[in-house]
Amino acid sequence: MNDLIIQTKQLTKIYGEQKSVSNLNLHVRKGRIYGLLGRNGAGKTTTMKMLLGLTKPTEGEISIFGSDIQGAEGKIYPRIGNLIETPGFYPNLTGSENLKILARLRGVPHQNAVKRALEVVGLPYNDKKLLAQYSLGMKQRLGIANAIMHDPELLILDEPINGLDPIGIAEVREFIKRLSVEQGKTILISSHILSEIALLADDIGIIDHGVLLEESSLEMLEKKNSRYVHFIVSSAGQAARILELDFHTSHFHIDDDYSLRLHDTNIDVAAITRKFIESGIDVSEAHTQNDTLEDYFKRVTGGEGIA
Amino acid sequence: MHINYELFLALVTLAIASLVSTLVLLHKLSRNKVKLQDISDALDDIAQGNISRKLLAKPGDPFAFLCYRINEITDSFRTQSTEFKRTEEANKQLMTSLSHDVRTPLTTLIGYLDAIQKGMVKGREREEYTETARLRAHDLKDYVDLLFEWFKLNSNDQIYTLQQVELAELTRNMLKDWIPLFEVHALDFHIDIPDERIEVELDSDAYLRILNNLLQNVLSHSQATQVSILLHKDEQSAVLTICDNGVGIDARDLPRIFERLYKSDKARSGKGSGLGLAIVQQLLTGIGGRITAASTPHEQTVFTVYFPIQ
Amino acid sequence: MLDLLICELSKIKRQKFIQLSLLGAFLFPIPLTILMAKDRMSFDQLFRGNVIFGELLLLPCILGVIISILFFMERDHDTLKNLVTIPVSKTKMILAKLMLMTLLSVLYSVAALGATVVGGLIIGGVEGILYRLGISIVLGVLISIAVFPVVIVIVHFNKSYIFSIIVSFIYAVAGLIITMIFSANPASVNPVASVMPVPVIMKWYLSLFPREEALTYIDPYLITTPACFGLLAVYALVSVSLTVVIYRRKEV
Repeated sequence: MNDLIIQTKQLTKIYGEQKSVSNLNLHVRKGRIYGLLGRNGAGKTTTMKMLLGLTKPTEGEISIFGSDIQGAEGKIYPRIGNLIETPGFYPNLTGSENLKILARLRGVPHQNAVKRALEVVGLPYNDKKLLAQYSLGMKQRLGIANAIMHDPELLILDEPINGLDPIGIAEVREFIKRLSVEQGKTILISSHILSEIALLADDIGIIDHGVLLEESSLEMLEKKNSRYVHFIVSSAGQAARILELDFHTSHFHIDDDYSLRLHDTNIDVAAITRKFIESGIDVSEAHTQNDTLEDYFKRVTGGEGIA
Repeated sequence: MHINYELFLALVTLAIASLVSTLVLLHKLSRNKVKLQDISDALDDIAQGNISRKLLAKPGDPFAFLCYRINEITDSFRTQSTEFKRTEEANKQLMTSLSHDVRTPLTTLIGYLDAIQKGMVKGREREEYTETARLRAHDLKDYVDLLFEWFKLNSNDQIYTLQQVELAELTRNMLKDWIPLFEVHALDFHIDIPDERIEVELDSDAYLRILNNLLQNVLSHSQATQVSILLHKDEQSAVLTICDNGVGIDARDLPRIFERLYKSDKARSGKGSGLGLAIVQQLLTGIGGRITAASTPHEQTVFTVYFPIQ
Repeated sequence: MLDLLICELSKIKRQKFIQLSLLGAFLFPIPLTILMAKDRMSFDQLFRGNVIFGELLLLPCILGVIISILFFMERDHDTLKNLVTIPVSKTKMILAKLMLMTLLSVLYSVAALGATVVGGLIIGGVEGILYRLGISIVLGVLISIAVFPVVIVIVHFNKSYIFSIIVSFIYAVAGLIITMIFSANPASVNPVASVMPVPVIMKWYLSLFPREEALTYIDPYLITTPACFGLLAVYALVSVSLTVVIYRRKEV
């Protein structure tokens, strides 16, 4: 697809004995918000660091804006804004002084870029407060200001709501949404908080232990998981057999000996129930239910959910 | 010997200085060339449709002013483009909502008429069906009229003729026609219009429609038993306040009631759908006024309209 | 490059140590003045004395700490990632920091000159101030280059400030000792030791002023300006290249 802003092929990072990122094939589409979802330590930050050239991949290719990043750093990185891990600034300088240094090195798209960026994130311009006196929330906002100051086409944000209070979280969320809708920016955010990703992302990539388990649009994920029929029967195994043989579907999941979930919702539940009973399987419960995205995530990562 | 050495030193220093200056100048020239090439590449990208592409320049850069200017231009294009997309999207929504809003009553209407034609009802019931069908047809026509009005307003084809009017007298006259309607709907009304003259510059047609739409809104959606209409003047505006004791509007819905398609759940049935208030909003924008709404659910709703006194 | 230098300058705003280090330039002139005054020495000797102690000994230590501040600040405050993603090449960053160190070294050197001038006025007279100004500036640059090898060590090990102070101190003392031995008995100095940066600078410096009778035995061992500059240029090139290689290998 020509509208892929970020594309990686078999991206891998090995630290000593440990494979931090394995054969990642990431596809971030233009103008959309891509949520990279995974537990702490899943490899989100490492992936982002590789995209930004902070870490060299062990294997694999990265292409941004249609070009391989190797050798084209000077052309590509000025078009990217980023916030990786906790923001780092010089404690002996004020917020504005810090940004002015970065603005001087990077260049700015208009005259008062630093002032405007600070206004947008709600921090004062040319005040006397030194970074040493900043709270985590303020530092985070300054980090965001740094990421957007040069009006980049692509934003790579690592857990951008980290350290913010609930109001701040809502503000940043709205802000990111606006950047995508009003300015057409492409945004890659990572988080371990599913609810946040679900509120923001257009596309989701689920990463666990360095592997990209699934990549899909939020719409499709929700559709896929919005409905299933939960059966509680006397024998899940038997029920499974009937579903396969008589209804020709294998889109179900057996929870235990008595419980099974059918994801193929095209089939008439009444017909299934009737068939079960006819075949000697008792049905004590058959109801349509929504699988939450969280349950889905648990299932896909085969683990205990989000940490 | 000594003198020669000094002279020699001076010459060498001069030579080195000139060499260094020349190198610096050449370097600057080549940097300028590279920068121009970068600008050109970015412009190519923009020309191909990437209007988000920005040119970065440091304050001391030779072409900074150029870069900033180009960015300003692409910025305004981007805003326009977003606005356009938003309008497109809204229009799409409108179209969908529209076909639903017309199709449903029309289908019902046809249902009644078919039943009558097939002889499925007789006598008293048949007359009732005919009456219902007739009323539905009128509803549909009113709705389509409103729609046309809204479209006209929206496409900026509307021309407002501002004239000097005396608002108190005008309002009293308009309300005369409403009083019978209030009585028919068993709506207690209270009108408070001052005796003094309130001179305002506005389009009286627009004013009539605003008043009518707001009162129609009370009649159709509020299920109120009382309505108050107040007119007074403050320093900057003439203020029209319409207050009813009806079902009210949820705090959640309040910010959105003037949007084209918005209907709060309670107002699903009834005339005009969400358009009445949206039209009021449009008209006010056209004549320079504004409207605010406040409401306590299940108790009261207050619409306050401000007309600027020129 | 100029932008980078300006930025490096901005980064040390309100950095007390760097501001105070310039005061170090006044450290030696004071006791030296007193000494010279007692022994009725000339301004020339006062200046030379300060060069030996204030510049060859103290300045490298100060510069060692300064360059540590300049490099460690990125590490300690996690700011390197912002810079690298602009993108700013690590090479240019290193050059900018070294340039700043050199600038500060020159400042120190000129301040030291100022202090010795004051001392000289006290002990009797000053001469050739303009000439000495030029020399001070050049000395500042040369000493800075002399510290480049230490920079390699500091950057490579990337440890604490204490470590940097110790390394710079050892280096400075070693250099001074070699210089002292050289001054006493030039022939006895190991040829390798005698081309170490600090002794080289001393050998060049001595050639700039007329020596008193007692020291003329040193004359055959002195170095000409081109030789000194050339040698130090080689040191600079090699050190900077090594520093660049080492720094670039480090992950952000």
